[in-house]
Amino acid sequence: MEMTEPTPEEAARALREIGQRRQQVYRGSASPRWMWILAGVLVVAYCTVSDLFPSSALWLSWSFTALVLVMAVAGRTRLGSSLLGQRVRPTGAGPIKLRLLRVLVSLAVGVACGLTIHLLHVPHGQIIYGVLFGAYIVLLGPQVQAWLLDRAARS
Amino acid sequence: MARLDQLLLDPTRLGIVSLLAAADWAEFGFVRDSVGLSDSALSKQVTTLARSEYVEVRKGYVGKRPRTWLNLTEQGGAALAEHMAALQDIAESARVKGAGHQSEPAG
Repeated sequence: MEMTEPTPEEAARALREIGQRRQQVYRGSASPRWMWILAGVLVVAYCTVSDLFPSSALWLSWSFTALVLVMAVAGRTRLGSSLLGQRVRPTGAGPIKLRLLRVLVSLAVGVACGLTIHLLHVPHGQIIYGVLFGAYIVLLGPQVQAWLLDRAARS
Repeated sequence: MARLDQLLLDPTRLGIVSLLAAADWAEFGFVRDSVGLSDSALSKQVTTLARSEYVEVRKGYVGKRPRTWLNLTEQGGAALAEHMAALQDIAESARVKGAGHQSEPAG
């Protein structure tokens, strides 16, 4: 079969399209809305139960940590990703930096909320902390992730 | 000099392969929606790419629902890299020629 060589314009266009496909993958890998809501609700529930029933804090912490680990590991498999509503998993160094940056942003927000509540000596501070952090996850989580994914796609 | 890949000269196939090059894996539905093809049209293209061992297809179930995942093979990745290099050569040579023409004295 005879191969027709693309013109320089066609070659440049094809290269641009390859770059756009990469951006499509990153944007398409954003977690679905329900995942953010579920994560926010879990954080509120965890903090509320820890505050109201301090005796159960230890096993609750272990259960919560186990759940987070299971979800993190599941997210690395095809089946787990599908169950968590992720249709594509981006490759390369971008996502590692992206995850680190995401963890750092979440940690910074968490520490800032915790410190403020601690310094103000608010009663049931853990519940308030849970509500604030849960609200951050539900309301700002998708935006922060979209911003980070956009950065990764351009890198 | 890098060589163009016959299979990847087709824009649809190039779209599928470049999409998968940026992913560890992708669901069939994601690729279908991203490249804007019907199930059967994508299936046909994937079969062609899989026959050349550019794309790997894995099937499974999520609950009771069948699911298909696609990923680029090493061979597919290498083919895309060479194809991209060839495209860059073509685009670059035109730019160099253009610059050469501009620097020639008029007359």
